[in-house]
Amino acid sequence: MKKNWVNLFVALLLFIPLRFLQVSIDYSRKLEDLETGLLLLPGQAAGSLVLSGFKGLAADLLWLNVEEYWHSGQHYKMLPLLEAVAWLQPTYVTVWAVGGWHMAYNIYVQVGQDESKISEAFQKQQETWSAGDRAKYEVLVEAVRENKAILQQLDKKGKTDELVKDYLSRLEKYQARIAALEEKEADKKLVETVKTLLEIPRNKIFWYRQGVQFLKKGITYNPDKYDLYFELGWTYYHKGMDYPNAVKYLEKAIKHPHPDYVDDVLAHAYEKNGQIDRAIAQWEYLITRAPSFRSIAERMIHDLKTKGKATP
Amino acid sequence: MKKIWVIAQNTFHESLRKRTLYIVLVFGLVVIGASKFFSFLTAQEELKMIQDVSFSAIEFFGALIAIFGALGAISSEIEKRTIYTLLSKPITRYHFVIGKFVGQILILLVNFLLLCLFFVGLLLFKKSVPNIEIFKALFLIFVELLLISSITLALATFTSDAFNIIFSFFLYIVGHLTSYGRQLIERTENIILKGLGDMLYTIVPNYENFAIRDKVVVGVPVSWQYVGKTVSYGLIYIVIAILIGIYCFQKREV
Amino acid sequence: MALIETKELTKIYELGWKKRVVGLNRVNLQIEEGEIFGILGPNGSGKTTCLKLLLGVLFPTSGEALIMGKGPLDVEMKKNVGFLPENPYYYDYLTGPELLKFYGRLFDLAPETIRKRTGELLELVGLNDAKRLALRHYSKGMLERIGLAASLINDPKILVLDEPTTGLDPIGCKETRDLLLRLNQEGKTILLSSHFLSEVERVCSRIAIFHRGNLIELGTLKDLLVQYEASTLEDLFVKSIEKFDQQHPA
Repeated sequence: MKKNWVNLFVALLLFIPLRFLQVSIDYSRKLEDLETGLLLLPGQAAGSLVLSGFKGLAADLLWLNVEEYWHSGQHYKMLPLLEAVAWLQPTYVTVWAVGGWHMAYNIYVQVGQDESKISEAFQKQQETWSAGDRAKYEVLVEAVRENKAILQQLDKKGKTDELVKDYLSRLEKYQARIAALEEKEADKKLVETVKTLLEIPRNKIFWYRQGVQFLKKGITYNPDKYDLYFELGWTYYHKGMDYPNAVKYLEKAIKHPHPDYVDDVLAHAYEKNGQIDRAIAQWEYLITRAPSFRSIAERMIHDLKTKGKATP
Repeated sequence: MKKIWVIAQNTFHESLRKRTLYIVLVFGLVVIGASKFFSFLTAQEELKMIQDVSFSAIEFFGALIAIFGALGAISSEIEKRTIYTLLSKPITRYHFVIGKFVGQILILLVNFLLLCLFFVGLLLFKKSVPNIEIFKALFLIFVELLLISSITLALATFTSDAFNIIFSFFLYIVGHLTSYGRQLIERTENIILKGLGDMLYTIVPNYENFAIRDKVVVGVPVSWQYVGKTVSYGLIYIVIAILIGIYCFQKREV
Repeated sequence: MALIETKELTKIYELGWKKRVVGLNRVNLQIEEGEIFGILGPNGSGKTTCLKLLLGVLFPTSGEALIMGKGPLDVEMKKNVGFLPENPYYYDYLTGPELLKFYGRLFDLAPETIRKRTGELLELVGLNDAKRLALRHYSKGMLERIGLAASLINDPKILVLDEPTTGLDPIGCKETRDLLLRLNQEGKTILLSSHFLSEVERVCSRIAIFHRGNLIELGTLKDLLVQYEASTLEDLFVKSIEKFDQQHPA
């Protein structure tokens, strides 16, 4: 017992190497991306403090709710949850991918689901107009027609930045004219209806862009995985018909370990982007990489070489 | 050395009669089992769910077993007066403390393996072969549990059970938050606060070091180097705790 | 050199704000080899404190306690000591033989030795029939007896017994008494504390009387009876305590 103080002394001394080890561990945690950042908003800090040991679990439980809302069609309610799950587990790629999909595809569709109903009602209304009404409300009719055209073009022509600029400027033009009409003693309800219709393409553009943004944010947290590059590339390709961007992101995707279909989509994207030679080279590469794609690839190459176009 | 083992065996044997440990173990198994019922998710999500739930359950219930196991180890001997007989035997007090700790290791090992086997069994049942990363994560959790146990044991050498249980839980929670604390402290300008924070950060056991499951669950590998560092941290801290326990117990009058 | 001795052994308990309780006050004892020595005193007189100090369970405030010339923490010394605590209460899920085996292993005894002695001891204390019974089913008397067996597992030179006959019926008391005498004849030195005066009377060669932490009388029974003009030990006991209280009012 005489040397008991040695025990205490050694114990306290050991805190020194412990400290150095901790510093090294902290560094490793940063390096290997095991660290999660701290949000200083008091509410969020408190929340994160409480959850710290069970982040994964919390994320999963929130995810269940996301699924719930999706299946019951309450798309808007999914959004704050998606943000929360993404914040809790930013390296969980699925969240970003699904979130982006919900925004750019599902909500995109949902904001326009009343469009046909409203425009039909408007059509019906027109049948009750007098000649004077028809003259007064001509701008409304034009606006509605233009709106429909824009909606079609959004879906058929795409949503590149240039196209979107065009759509928006056309919408603004009509909005200005309608505003002018409103000042005169016009039927408020009618004007409101048309205004609502004009909002739809805006909303669609908004949600498409939100989806793209969300995916981009996800990429910043997961820059070494192919998944979100592919999701974004696919969104640009399929939804946005924005081929330059599609190619850009798909090319990034193939830089990381990835499944074969990524190369397949890239080949199609090259073609749509006008880079026929690249497309052919990509198909040829795909044959070497994945023999199961041989027949498709050969047909694509043949069509590209003879017709200059293969993808329908 | 043999005497340490004899005491350890006795401690383990005694734990088999502690009902609390069984309850905790069963709870742990139930929770892991419950994760199976999320089959309405996609296969990949379900797997992640099972892993998240199981890791959390193993860590949490494991911590409970570590704390409850170590809690009674010394106080039960004192309450039952068996300690007088024991100390009259040709053993030193450090034999006693280390023997108790080795007993804790046995207790944790058995319970931990049961929980893990159940977890791995569930994974295999879902046709997912657990990779080495999962075992790394489990191994780190085990070292963490040993650490929790050693600290509770050290506390038991000089505090009452009531204080110990509250403080051990408190330390468990705080130990998970130290890295957040550190980030906060980094942003202050106040030197005194910084120094104090620094000291606290070193002293409080950093249980977050052992938490690699976030990465493992999304399939990202963690380096062996990191595992090595963290295990070393755990071992050093365990030694510190045991030494302090020995120191306090050698001064203790019963 | 006495086998067991204490030199000015003192234990003062500090119970918080300036409250001090004297557990033991400068006690000097020498117990020679081959004696059966009894410590008597009312409850709270310091008997158990003295024993605990000898065994290293408590630490003295001042003074020394020595067994075979060694301090209480000497591991080698303890191999020669057997201890039976007051109100023994053991690991209740063990059986008698398992308990003996546990303690035996702590003495580094060989397994065959343990086995042999376990058999002998269980026979000795009459617990052979209860071999398979877990200790939690034991009666108080049985616990005393297994405790005695446990204290003998290492065949010690010195036996320290704290209130060894509490809870024993008259037959049990007699058996214990006979056993102690026999062990003493075999060469063991026995130190026991008790407040069963009749037992002490029949067994001890010398006694010490404790009161309020002080050793107030020490000597053979015969001498002390003469000294206090007492006819029985009880008489002696009461008189010596009265005398001390008069001289040292609380």
